[in-house]
Amino acid sequence: MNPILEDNLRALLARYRPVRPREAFVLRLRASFLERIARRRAPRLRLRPLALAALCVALVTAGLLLWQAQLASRSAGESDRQGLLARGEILLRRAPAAPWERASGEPVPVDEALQFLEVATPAGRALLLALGQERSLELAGATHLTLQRQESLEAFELAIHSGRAWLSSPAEARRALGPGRHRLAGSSVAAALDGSGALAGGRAPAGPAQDAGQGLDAPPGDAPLAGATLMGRVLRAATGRPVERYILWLRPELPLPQIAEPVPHPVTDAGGAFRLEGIDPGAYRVFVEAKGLAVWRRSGVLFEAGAQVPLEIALSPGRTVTGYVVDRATSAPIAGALVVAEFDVPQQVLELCCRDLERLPLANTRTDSSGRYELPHLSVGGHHLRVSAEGYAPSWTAPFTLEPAIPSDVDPVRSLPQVELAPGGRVEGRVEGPDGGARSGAVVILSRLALDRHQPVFTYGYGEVDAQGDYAIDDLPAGDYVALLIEGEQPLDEVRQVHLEGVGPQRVDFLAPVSGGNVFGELTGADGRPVSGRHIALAPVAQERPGFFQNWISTTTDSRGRYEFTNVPAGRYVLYQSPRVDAPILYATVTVPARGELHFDLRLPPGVVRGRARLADGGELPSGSSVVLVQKLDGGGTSFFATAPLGPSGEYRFEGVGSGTFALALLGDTFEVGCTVTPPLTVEGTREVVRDLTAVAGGRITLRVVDAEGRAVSGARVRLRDAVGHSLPYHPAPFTGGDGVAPLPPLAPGEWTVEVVAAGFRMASRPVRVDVGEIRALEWVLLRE
Amino acid sequence: MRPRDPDPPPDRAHARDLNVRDRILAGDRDAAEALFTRHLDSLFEFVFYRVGRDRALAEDLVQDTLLVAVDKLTSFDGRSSLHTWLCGIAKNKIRARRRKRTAIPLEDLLADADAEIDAILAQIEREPLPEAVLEARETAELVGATLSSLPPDYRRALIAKYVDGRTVPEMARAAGQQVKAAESRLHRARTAFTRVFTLLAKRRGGLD
Repeated sequence: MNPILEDNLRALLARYRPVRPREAFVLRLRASFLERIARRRAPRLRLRPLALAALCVALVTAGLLLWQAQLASRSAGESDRQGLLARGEILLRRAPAAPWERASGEPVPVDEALQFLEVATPAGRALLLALGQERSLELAGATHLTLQRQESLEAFELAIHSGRAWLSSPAEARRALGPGRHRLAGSSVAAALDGSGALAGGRAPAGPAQDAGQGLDAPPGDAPLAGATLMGRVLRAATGRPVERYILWLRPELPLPQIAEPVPHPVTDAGGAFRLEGIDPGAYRVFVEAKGLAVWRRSGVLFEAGAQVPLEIALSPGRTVTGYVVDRATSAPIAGALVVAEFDVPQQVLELCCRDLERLPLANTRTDSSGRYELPHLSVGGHHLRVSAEGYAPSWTAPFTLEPAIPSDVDPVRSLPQVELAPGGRVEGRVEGPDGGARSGAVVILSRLALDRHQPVFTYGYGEVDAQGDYAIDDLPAGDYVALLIEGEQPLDEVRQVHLEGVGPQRVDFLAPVSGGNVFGELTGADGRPVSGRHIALAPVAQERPGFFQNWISTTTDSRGRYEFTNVPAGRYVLYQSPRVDAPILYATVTVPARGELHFDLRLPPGVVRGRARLADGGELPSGSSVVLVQKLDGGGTSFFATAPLGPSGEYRFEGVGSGTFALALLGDTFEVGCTVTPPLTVEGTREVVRDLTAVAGGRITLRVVDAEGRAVSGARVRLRDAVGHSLPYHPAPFTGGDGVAPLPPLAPGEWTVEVVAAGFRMASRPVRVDVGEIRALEWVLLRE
Repeated sequence: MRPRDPDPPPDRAHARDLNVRDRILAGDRDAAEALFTRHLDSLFEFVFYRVGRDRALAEDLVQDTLLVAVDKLTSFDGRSSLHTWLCGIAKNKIRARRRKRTAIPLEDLLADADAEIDAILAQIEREPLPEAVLEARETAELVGATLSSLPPDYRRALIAKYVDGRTVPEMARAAGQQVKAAESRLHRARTAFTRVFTLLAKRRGGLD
């Protein structure tokens, strides 16, 4: 030690006078610092169920239908539903994403598409009966109902296992139904259950009660539903020892478009036991989270009123995945990127960027300074990861499956392909009120249409409208979106569809209506009778691109089949109607005058295409299979037409099909159903075309697309053509994700042509052979233009 | 009396900084308060000596620095300490301010310094410092400027030893360290102080 230095240091440091900021400054800065921290988190939008419902209406509908015309119907349908629920009406829904139809008072035809029956109470509480689903409710004593479609496809069967329900219709006096099976058809369905009186209305039925089964009293008053109880234990799978501390998450599985927030229930018990009481009857998704163990998840856990549901839960350590996240342009690692295993989080809705971290207790992590992430304790099964970071558009990895670890296996870490993030795009615009002034305080929600893969989480971004009426939403990945306008937590009848490419801003305005012409007319069926309740939309031709319109407006035909649009700006428009999921769209191109009126009637064509789709051995197709009808265009191309979910026996049906040449595509998402396209079929006039389809087992192609430097190319569109050149109407064609991987459906065996199109690159097209049960992994290098 | 926090080893300190970051990002107000309290004084001192002891300007820049830090907190990756990261932001702010205003190089800030004093100060390792030099206002400022350039744990070690008169075992106990580790840290702090002090003194005196 240097004694001179030691002395000098002592002498120097003794003269050290700390310099501190002034107290007033510290207080002021502290306040603004903490406020900034709080504001950093504040933009999180707390959506109430109604707004979230609207959000999901758009998402789900878009995911199923892909056409904004149907989106319009969903939005209007949900709006109708809310109003009808408030009045205590009975509602019917014909398909998972079809609009709600009013059932009470007006007979509603029963057809094969009817899948839901909803009974609402004046208190706004709804009982939904889905086809094949059993539900219990408290009427006079527990009533247990099942709704089944009869084989004739013309009626429903309402089975009452215990208790009773009430049936009323305009044609007959109200009558009580006792235990047994009751056939419902025609107007009976219209008033299958007396929602206002029987469930919770608190008033006696208007007509004399008729006992169809046994002696019954009048319907009860406003009896609350008895809660169910969930009880059981949580154990370690390896040792059978109890897990002492864990969190049990319950999320009601509501029929879309409703969504629910998960509710955590922390449990501390030496024996690992839990008991939750007072659970509202219904189906739930259950998650269990414990430190150091994988998330346990199960969907479809049913709770009947007053029932005790036992659940024995075994937790295992799960599996670990790891990978890197880098900047696409520089290949520099991105630190602090949020990586979320979407299948293991209980939330149904998450923001595009990373602000939801505090809402994500499970299955997420951040990358370290080398861009590396390690996500331990993932559940066994199918997964994909969502990666987001400030200043970048989020990206999703290709789906992957985690297998159970064998006992001797010390969780070998699964490495995933590197994820490359790039700056996202921006959507901006102006929002005006009816008077043309800025609609400040309103919120524009942008919902991503996850069409390329199954997404367990709905993703959205949003922007608040400022005092000048402007809003902007950043960091958006390329793709299709639905924009909704919300004010005061109420969705407004303003919905836009947005297609975003690259980072350039896309403008979406919600402007005050301008004066223009009026468009009106009547929609009739093939038999000339007016068709009510159909959604008519008007889209400017100038912004048309195949299968996609923007800035459209829509309305619904009234009981006389009439529709009307007022104050439509002059110009050329596509006028089209869309009744529901499985029905085609009727187009017409019209010119709206600057002033005055345009009368334009629409008549549905009479053609029908129907049939059944089965496995080669005659068995039923797995869920997720569907049939798509495409129109063959004169120029040799195809136009996406409509998609139909399959009935219980594999039946499908397209109505209102015009004359022309079509093809059917059978799509699935498992090896059992390799996607195929049928040879052309012709529809002429009223002829009914029946075409049965047989699924063949297929194989898969996994395709990763990179540039010449080996960097993943995201946002590339992949098209598939079969050996005779039929394009697979897997619409829209899948895009590659941030890892450059495109999720492709299983394909029928044989020769396929794979075509990749990406902005700034030359198109690549090559034949690929698909063999049954095999996965052909390809990595293509795209050359720059 | 300066606060004397226990000094965790660098890797632990960085892990603690990352933990603070994550807690703030998760909305933990206490963590935000802790960051503010822990780093404000040292950050202010760091800026103060780099803007010509202009208190108002230093306050402006410290405010800008902390508010930028909030916005960029996700980019803090733990490769450096939070203190270093904050000082990095502050340096950028100071540079930007210099571009906007007249340049304020260190030489200019301390232009009134006596070159002779600086020549003596630059001999800190070899010559005992005369009382007259020690009593000069510029000397105290140079000590402050030097300390403001050191990592907080070095500064704490020097103050504990030479201002508060702590022994190395006492310092080790307070920091939850082995005596050897405390000794080693003090040695590094001493070396760093000497080098920075000598450098500043030479430059101020036009000797470098």
